[in-house]
Amino acid sequence: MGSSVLPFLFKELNQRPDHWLVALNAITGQDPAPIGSTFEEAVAAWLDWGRRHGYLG
Amino acid sequence: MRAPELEADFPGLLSAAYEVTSPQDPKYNCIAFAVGDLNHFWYDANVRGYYWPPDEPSADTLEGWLRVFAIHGYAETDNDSLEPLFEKVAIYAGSEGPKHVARQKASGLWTSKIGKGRDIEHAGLAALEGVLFGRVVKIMKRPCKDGKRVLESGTA
Repeated sequence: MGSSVLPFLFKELNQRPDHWLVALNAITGQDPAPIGSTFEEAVAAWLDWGRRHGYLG
Repeated sequence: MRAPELEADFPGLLSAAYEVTSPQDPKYNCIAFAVGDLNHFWYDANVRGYYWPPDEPSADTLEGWLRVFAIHGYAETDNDSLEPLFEKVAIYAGSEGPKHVARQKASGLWTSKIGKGRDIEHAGLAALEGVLFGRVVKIMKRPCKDGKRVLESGTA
């Protein structure tokens, strides 16, 4: 599973926040949430990252 | 209201009194719920948004789960009976390791967060024993703090 699935993962994360964070981290090598984030805060950080990198409209 | 999809996963619920007490919520899991944290998913995923106590054994080990509750003041005990001045948790495990933890309420009913899903209250620990969660392997208890129990507003 590579970067080609990122648009799907971000779409899913946006519509139904769920445990895609580990997969996103594994594919991108990124972890954009601040240290100590709650799950909700981490989802928000990933969605922001996804928008900034063109994976989410 | 009964939940057929839960009964399919946990056949013990077919003969147990239970109630669904929350909508599905992926923000926290059973361990988080047992310690009273509704904002973190307790697992050592090493990705932010997940939490596991630093330098403790893996979340995939029974030892890790025992340590989590020891950190929170729990010690092992030998029975699941209601003791008004004590909070109790029950850890379920299968051959692959720990699977679930339930927390006892002041009423004597047990409350559980089912994975990423809903909270339920259930009468008896056997209601969730089976293929998915294994069986109860450890009971732990601690004195109620200031007479209160986790996530309950009344006093013990």
